[in-house]
Amino acid sequence: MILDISGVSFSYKSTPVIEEITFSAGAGELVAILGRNGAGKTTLLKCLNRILRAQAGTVLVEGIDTRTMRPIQIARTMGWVPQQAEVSAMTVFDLVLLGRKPHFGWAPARADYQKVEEALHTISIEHLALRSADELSGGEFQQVQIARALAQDPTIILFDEPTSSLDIHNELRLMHTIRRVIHHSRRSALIAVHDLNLALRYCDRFILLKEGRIFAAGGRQVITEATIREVYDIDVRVIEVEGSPMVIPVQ
Amino acid sequence: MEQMDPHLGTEAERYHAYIRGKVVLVVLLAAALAAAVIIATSIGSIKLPFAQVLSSLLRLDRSGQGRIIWDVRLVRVLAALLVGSSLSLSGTVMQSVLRNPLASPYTLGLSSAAAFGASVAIVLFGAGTSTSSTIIVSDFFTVAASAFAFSLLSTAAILLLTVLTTISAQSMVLAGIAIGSIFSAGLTLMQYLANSVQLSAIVSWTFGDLGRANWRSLGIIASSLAPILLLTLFVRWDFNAMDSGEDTAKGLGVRTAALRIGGMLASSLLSAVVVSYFGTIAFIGLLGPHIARRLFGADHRFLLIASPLIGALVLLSADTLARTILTPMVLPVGILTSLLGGPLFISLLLAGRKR
Repeated sequence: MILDISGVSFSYKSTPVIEEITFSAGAGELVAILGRNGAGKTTLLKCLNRILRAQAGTVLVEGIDTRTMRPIQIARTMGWVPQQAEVSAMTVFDLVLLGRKPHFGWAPARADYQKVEEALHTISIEHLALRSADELSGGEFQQVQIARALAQDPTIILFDEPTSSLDIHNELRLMHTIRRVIHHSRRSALIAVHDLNLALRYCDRFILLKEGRIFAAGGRQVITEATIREVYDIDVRVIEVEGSPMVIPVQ
Repeated sequence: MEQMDPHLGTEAERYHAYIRGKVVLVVLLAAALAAAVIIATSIGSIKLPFAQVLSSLLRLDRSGQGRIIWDVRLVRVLAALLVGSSLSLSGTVMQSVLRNPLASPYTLGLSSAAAFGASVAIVLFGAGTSTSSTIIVSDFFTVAASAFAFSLLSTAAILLLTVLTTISAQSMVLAGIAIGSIFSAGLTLMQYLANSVQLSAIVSWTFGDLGRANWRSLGIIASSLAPILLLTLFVRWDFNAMDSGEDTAKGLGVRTAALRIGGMLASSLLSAVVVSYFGTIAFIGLLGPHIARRLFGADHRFLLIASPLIGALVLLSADTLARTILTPMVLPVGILTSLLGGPLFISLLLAGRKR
């Protein structure tokens, strides 16, 4: 397993946000983190790369406890795509080059620039390379952040709602690209996502969080009318469309 | 979209060309500053020809009029360079780590704290006295030391607020204004308690004035500026990461808390040294970084070099104007930076942003 999470708990002050989270992710696997607002999806992701310090539990990356790793070592193995970030007056190339920061010393080398180019091409945003980030649309900026995480060349990429600002065309294209990159390079991705059908279409495994705890976890079979009612408090029908399940809310 | 061969590295090449453009701009800035140094050294009550200034500077010739150049003019010119670049660098770092464009040594209350410290030395320690006609600060070292101590105190207050509380970076500037107002009240109290001689000494200290410069104070400022500039350049990529937000920076392996505290400590120390010697010189800590951001964007690889250069250029120009505008009277430059800095800053805000 690339990622082993065991008993991870985190509280803000005395309010528990996530409790006793245990699961793992293998090579080439996309794991969807599902749950309602406030269920702890973002908190869970941030505990993995130690943006937040979990009060209990262990996170092992390729067998190494993240608590024994320096921040820069964690950044070399885990990429992070936040849902929102502040937009600074730097070019897209500059921002994607930041993904190489954990790898280079005083200044980027030729190989780093190549990685940036590769990432720009993978996400198909090479035409934005010299645009200033503060002139981009929300969706374009989101793609820049994904490109930066790819340039970071980590073993695991943590995505927090990576397609929330994208139109349906770009959403499908980006998810397809992410899936291709993860499968091809045998990395892992953890994706916090709201769109159940998007998750069903592109992810391999599903973690359903309810009030900070794992309610259900596993393959597509865990996305059932019963589990969704419990987790999201809505009535849905799960139907089969062209061989894949699809979630449709019912009134 | 144009046809591009991914193996030719088209984006990287375009990017390198773009970066070279910025490097050229930095070189031009440095050249403009060098020219300004020659011009400023030649201007004064005795007008010296550029050629003579240049040859005296290059040949380290301190004889004849070379003495004016070296011991009078150059000290002051170098003071403008060092003070301008220090304040501007401090402002850049403070604005980055606090992620607030209003952060500067002045707006964070450091200047007020230093002024209060100076007034305490003058009133309570009797460091200000008068000779027959002119008011002087007799024990200059005590005044500077006291000013420094109090600016450290305000730095400590700001740092403690940063470390101990969950106060947001944005609120830090508000806290700085509050701290500044406390010290301003203290300064007013000291002025009220002072006798007329002490009062004159306080007021004359408060004017930011480069006329107090001597080789020793320049040495102290230079030896604070150089390591801090190097240190900030060393973490220039961390600053760039920080610009995308704290979480993004952490995700890129930046120790954000250490960067914020270290950055505040270094920039506060640097500006404390400067204001302790030279008093309140407003706006340079805002103007320098903001002009640099207009020209270079948010990339700290360039900001951390360009902002000190611009701060030096602006303060040197202002001081040269202050020396000559009412000849033979020499105005403290602090008056001029406040007077001209305000409108200049507003026009900067109104002007279109350039990348």
